Amino acid sequence: MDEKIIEEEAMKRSNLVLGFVILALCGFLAPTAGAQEYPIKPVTIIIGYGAGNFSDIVTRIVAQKLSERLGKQFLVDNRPGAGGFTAAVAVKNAAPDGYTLLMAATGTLAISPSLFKQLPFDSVKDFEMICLTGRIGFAIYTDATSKIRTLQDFIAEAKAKPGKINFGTTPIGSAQHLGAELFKTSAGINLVTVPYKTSPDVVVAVRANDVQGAFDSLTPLVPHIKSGAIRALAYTASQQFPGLPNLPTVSLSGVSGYEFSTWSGLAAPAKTPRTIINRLNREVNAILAIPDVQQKLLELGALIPSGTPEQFAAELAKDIVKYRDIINQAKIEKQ
Amino acid sequence: MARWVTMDLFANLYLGFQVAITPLNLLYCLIGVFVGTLIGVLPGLGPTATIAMLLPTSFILPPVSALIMLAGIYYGAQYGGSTTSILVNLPGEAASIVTTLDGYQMALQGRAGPALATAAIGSFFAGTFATVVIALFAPILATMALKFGPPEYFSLMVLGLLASVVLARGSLLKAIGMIVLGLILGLIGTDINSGALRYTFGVTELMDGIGFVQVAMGMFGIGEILLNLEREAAAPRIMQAISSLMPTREDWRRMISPILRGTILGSVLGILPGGGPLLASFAVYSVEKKLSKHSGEFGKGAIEGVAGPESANNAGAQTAFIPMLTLGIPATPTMALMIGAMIIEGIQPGPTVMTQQPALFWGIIASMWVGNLFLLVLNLPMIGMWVRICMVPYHLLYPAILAFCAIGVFSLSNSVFDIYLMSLFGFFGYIFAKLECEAAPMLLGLILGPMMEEHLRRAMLLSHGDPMIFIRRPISCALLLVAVVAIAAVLIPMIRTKREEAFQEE
Repeated sequence: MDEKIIEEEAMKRSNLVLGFVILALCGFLAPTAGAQEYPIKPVTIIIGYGAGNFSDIVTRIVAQKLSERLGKQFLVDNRPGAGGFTAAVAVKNAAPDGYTLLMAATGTLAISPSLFKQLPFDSVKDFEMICLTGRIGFAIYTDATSKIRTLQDFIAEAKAKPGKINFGTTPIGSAQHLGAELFKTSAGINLVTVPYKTSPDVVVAVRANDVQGAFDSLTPLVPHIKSGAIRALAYTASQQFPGLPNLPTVSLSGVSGYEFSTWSGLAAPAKTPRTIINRLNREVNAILAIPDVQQKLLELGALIPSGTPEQFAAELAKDIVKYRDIINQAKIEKQ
Repeated sequence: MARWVTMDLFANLYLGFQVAITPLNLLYCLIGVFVGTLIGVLPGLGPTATIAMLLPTSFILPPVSALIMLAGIYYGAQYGGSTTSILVNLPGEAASIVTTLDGYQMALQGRAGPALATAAIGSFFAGTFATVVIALFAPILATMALKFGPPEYFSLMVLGLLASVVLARGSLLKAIGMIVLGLILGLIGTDINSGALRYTFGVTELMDGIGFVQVAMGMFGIGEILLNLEREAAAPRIMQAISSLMPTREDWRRMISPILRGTILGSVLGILPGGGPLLASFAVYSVEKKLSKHSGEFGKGAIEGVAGPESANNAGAQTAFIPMLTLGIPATPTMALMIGAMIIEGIQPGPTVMTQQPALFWGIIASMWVGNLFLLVLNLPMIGMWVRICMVPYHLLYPAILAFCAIGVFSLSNSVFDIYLMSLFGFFGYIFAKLECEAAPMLLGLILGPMMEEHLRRAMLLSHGDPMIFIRRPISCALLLVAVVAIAAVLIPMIRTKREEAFQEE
């Protein structure tokens, strides 16, 4: 093979990549289109998480079904990092024509306003909520060999040894951490919160007995619960998780009134036409009703939501207040 | 446990190969390692992004085929990553930083062929060995991964940081300076224990800290381009005529022990989530530099400096599957994606995979060996083609490298900011090269610093503020002792020679 062929190969490859880049740019540059025939071109869903994350998998499932039902491609564009800010800002600045959407999550829209002094977006004013796509409950768990068998045991143990029990969560300001703080105040116990970087790190810490209990979203825990490596004590959502019928809720395990869950949902830039919002809301609700989709979400440890754009917006508004209170109570300094 | 190592092994491997060498699975294995090699060769494009993109397509495949393909991409990329490190001084991933030190020097001396061949042969041997290790000891080794808590990691990092000084080719003082600079850069970002933002200056992109790939591609790749452009007018890039493509008899003799040592160390450290293969690759480099009769050649194109680290990172890439397959705990982001793939395919990852899905478990293990064989067969004939890249006039080559770097860095998180960051570090890379300060120790500081801080503070939280935790825990204590011995080994001869000098002066 001579140099020329190598160059040509490189050219071909870079052309291919260029093609992809142009394809991706189309989502931003295309002209605004009439709502009646929406969508007339591919739609980009921007998500603030990396590929493989729970939100990402849900987004890809929904995007694939939307593509099938609406006849145009729904592309998933991952902009991970910076707490989802990059993704949120990209959607805030996009044309409000329904061709750029945001897969929003509790962390970015509901928690960040109380964690940061300044945000590059306004959760309520800059976005139109479309439809919830998934709800995640959390679990309090211990190692399978622990002598703690129920949440009541755990609370009793914590009351007997205040400030001596280590409790694993993910980083400060994450939903896991805030849920754990709320649990501590609601149950009136004093635990040492130990933040880890990722959920698998927390599982390892529990199994090694570095921490005696932990608080994490159910999704990454389901395989470990089913394999018998860890013991889930209680589930934090208001209702039981259908995939684990033996797991009681926290509020039925002695901390009455405690309820904690997060959501992911589709949003659009503010001023996106109402007809498009309503159309997408109908489609997403219909997709979430498909048994095959419900099955996949259940396997991922998610609850299946439904509802109108207005209900979604009301939930966001309620959550912003809820997290502000938790953050104030836990005395987490604004950044 | 004894039963595990007896006849069962052969029955299990037989079952595995029955699964792995069906025509369909052979095809997916080949596709996987081929795609993996390609993305490994393209700087910056990593296996994580590729597997993520291919994840939806894998749902239509049977679970075994899908996982065989995804696994092939992963270790294929480890293989391909060494190619750019050797040819154009661009480490595609953390574990191949060390390969640039001697691999690129070999290429400059016209010995790119033997360097690439050594990497391929070393990786094949390491891959084969690691496959056997997984088959024999997976469950035992998995429990070791669980014994590594924050104190153990911290002590391991201390040892690692001490060893990184060995990477220095020139001045020791400058190397220490560069490590410290790396540690300082590692402070940027969100503090995990308080959520405080450090040195982000309101730039949201800095909230997650400075990414290693951006810095590595800037310092090594772009910096090298700037240097070469300056040099090219004066002298050709390749100093000597290209020698034979294959290693000489002397090369073979010199590469055998580094490959063996690299394989063993890589297999062990690969099991540890977070930086295992990276630590393995430069730990081996330090060991080889100390043991080699040619230690003076290190950093100037010693074949041991390619053979050891390349074997180590490939062995580590393979044994990284152990915690995932046996415990359902991912050691790397790529493994996390594979767990996602398993869940969607309806398989519960964890210890039950081995008992409930033996065909899947052993099929994947057998396919690893098949994949490594494919990689060797694919890569050895390609060496001739890669080496020709060295002969492409530089003014034609560097725009392509620049473009691939930009695309690769952009693909990390679809962010233009990363391209700016890479350019900035490219400029620093040039300046530091002019000052004869080396980039490798800085990068290790950047990677190890934040991990060290994180584990130190977490260990202190776990012990409620008692620093004795580092000594009470046996593995941590042993690692710290090794670190003390290492310092003593360096310092005592120095003191002795100083004294002797002093006596002589009298």
